[in-house]
Formats: sequence, structure tokens, C-alpha cells
Amino acid sequence: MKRIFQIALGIIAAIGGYLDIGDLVFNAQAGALFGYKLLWTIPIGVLGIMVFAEQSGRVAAIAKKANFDLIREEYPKRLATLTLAASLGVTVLTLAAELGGMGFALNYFFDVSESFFILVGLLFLILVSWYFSFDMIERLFGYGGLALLVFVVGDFHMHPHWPSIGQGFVPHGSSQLLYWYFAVGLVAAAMMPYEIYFYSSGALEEGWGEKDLGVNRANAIIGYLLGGTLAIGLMVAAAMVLLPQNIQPDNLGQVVLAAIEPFGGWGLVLALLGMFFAIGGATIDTAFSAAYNLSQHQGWKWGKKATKAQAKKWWMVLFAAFGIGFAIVATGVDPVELTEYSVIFSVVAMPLTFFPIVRAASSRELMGKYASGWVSKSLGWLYFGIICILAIAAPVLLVMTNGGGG
Amino acid sequence: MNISWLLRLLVLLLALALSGCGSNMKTDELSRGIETLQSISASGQVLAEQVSEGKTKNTYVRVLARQLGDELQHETEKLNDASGLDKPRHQAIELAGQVNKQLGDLQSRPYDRKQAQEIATQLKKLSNQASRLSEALK
Repeated sequence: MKRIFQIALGIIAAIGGYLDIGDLVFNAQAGALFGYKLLWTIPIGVLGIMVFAEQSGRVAAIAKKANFDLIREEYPKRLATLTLAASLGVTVLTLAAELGGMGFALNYFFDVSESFFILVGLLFLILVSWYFSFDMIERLFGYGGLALLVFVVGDFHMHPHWPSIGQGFVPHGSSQLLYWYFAVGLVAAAMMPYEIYFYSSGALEEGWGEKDLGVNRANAIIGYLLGGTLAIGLMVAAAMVLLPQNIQPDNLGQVVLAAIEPFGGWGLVLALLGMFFAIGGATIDTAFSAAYNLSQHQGWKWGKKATKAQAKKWWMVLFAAFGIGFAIVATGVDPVELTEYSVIFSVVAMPLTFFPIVRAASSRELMGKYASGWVSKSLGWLYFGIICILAIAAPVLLVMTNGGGG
Repeated sequence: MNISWLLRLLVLLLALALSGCGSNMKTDELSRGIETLQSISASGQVLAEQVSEGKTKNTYVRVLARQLGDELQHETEKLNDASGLDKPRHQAIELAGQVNKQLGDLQSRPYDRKQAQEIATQLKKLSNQASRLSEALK
């Protein structure tokens, strides 16, 4: 049981990263538009984020440095500040979208108003952040998000055509720009920088050291495998339920239709609960990341391990991030559209975020005998190359496809 | 950059934004609008079928039907604001009105399984009509 709880960090980072409001709709849209054809993008993204998470967790455990400690130390001052500004901008935009998503998910249960439940969600998160320990937070949202497994179980229940699913995992091309927009978006969505900000800082919150390297590896592998499995389950469910009807989901409610089909009312309740916790996890990931990044960049005391008086500035930034996110979503902007744009803009910030991790993890000077071996090093630089290509391709495809509208 | 340059830039941006209003609709834009209408109608149909089979919950049905109605309203406004391609555009507006009525009925009586069955049949017809209209434009 203790071992199961030890992988909570990987699960909350993976579910919050993989199945936030944008990903929930984006994955379902991919399945509803292209059936199983884009399934191959998910393992590519999963392996990439596993590599970066494992490396950042290892650096945190051995060198006691989180992502923005590395950025502050490795980059010239201006570049570090630019990286900070980009990361804060994208992270707070995503946070706003997630808050909106929580409000929408809750409103399906009670039908009062989305705005009311956005406020309820915000207050809930503030209370949880203030009173719950870091362990409790990651367990609540990580394991709550597993209710989304209802989509995976539902896939088995609906007897899909397995050979077609198998073929979907074989990468193949297409002449449609929209196909490539989704392919790039799906790989990028798996490697959102805030997952790594949260993961590396979380490793320090949990006080990982040399003895926890196995736990780090288990978190990176099991957590992200679970996140990837849920994403696959969602895409397959959408391909089976929404595609035959030509439904293009634009909101969470349309995605839920795919869980109701096999299980009725229970499917509905589990899907909405899973969405609430997964999106709540993403909100926590983003809000904490904003506070971690600024504090680490400025060299302030940070995190829930420090006393509230010691980490006063960290708490102020955390609440400011919640407040700004709330103000943005209160303007009435569509959370799904907001997060889809933030995924694409995050891609541009990715190389700046991941470069110092791959470099630090490979450094014998910093990591000693725990420096990356040739497999980890090769994968790290290979994926760094991939995100550099994505950083160029994503904005171009965004413009050429009218923001994914075709 | 001084104030007058900023003002000129703002005026230019405003002019560019306004130039999009009431502009001639292109075939692919109309086709996208009709595909959205078809998707909304099909979503309503699946939702109504689930209501008729007793598979779902009232609050969820109400909220989703309202959201679909709002999206439809937004799409109809875009179709109304545009000009050109009059015949298919007016057909699409007419279809949107009929889909909206069905969604409104579903929203106001989400517990009525018999009515939901009729709504599902109607929305299926409307969804097929939208598909045919979209195909005809290609």
C-alpha cells in the first residue's frame, strides 16, 4: 500500500498534464475526427515526458535543484527572465482555463451556473492548498482522476475492432494539415512544461534523495503510463461513439456522452468525477508551478515543506496566481479554446524549459555516478530535438488550420 | 512610438476587425458552419436517445442541451451576419432554428423519456439534412 501511495506525484503530474480540460476535449476531438489514426502520437508523447520527468526528478533528488533553480544558474540573466515570463504567462493562462473547467464539470451535477461553480472550485482549491499537506493534495487529485478509467473500461465493454486500434499505433502520414495540427498538439500536450515544474519541485517537497531514485523511476514510468492509457481510452471511446455520428465535441458534456453510452448513469457520474479531479489536479499543478517558478527564480523560500511564515512570498504568489486565473476566466472566455491556445504557446517555451534539465542530468560534475547513462542521454537529446521541431511547427499549423478549425 | 502612432495603429486594427463583419461568406466557411450545426444536432440526438433509454441524469441533460443551444445561437448569428450564398445560408439558418427548438424542448423536460424519443428522431432527420446540405456545397 505504501508503494502505491509513493507514486502519487507521478500520477497527479501525469493526469493533470494529460487530462486537463483542453486535453480531455482535444483527445476526444482527435478520436471523433480521425478515429484511431492518431493513437501513435500518444506513446511518443508518453516516452518523451517519462524521459524529462525521470531526469528532472533525478536532478532534484541528487543535486537538490528544481527546474527554475537550473534555469537561474545556467542561463544569462535576461534569458532566465524571458523564460520565467513565458512560463508564467502560459501557466497562468492554463490555470484560468482549468478553473473554468472545474466550474463546468461541477455544474453538470447541480445546474446552478458555471460562474458560481468556478468560484466554488476556486475556494475549494484555496482551502485544500492551505490546509492539506503536499502528500494529501497529490493523492486526492491523482487518485480521484483515476475515475476517468471509466472510458478505458467502456472501450472494452463496447467491443472495439482491435486490429484497427493496433494499426492506429503505427505512425503514418496524411495530406491533411488538420491531421498534423492534431498530431503536433497531442505530442506537445503530453509534454507541457508545467508538468515538469511541478514534478521537479514536488520531488524536493517530498524530500527525495539517493534512496528514492527507484521511486522517481516508478513515478515517471507508472504515472505517465497511466496518463497515456487514459488518453488512449478517451480517444478510442470518442472514435467509437462520436465519430459515427459526426459529432465534433467542443465541450466537456459532449465528451461525457462517450462514457454514458456503455454504462448509463454510472458512466456519467464517474466521468464527471474523474474530470473534476483531473482538472482540479491540473489547476493545482499550474498554480503551484507559477509560485514555484517565480520563487525559485528569485531565490525565495518556497513550498509546503517550509513554514507559512518562511515561505510568505511563495504563498502570496500562489494566491495571486489563483486570483489572476479567476479574473481571466470570469471574463467569460471559453476555457477549452483558452487551453488549446495555451498548449500551442507552451510548445514555444518548451525548449527553454527542457534544455537545462537534459544538460544537468548528463553532467558528471553535478550528478556524479548518477549522471544519465547513454540511453537516457540519447533519449533526452532526441526529445529535445523533437520539441525544437514542434516549437516551430505548432504556431505555423495553428495559423494554417484556423486554430484547428480546418 | 508616440501617442498619434498608437492611435493610428488602433484605428487600423479596428478597421481590420470591422472589415470581417457582414463580409461575403465563402463556401468553405459556410460548409464549416453547417458541419457545426450537424455536430450539434447529432449531439442532441445522442443525448435524447440516452434520455429515452433512462441512461442519464436531469441536471446534465439540462446543462448540455443549454450549452448546445448557446453554441447553435452563436453559429446562427454568424450565418445571419454574413452575406452571399443566400440559398444554402438561409436553409442552414432555417435548420438551426428547428434544431434549437428540439434542444429547448429537451432542456425543459429532461425527464420525459417518451418526448425524448421523438426529439431524437427529429434531430436525426435534421442532422441528416445538414449533412446533405454540407455535401452539396463541396
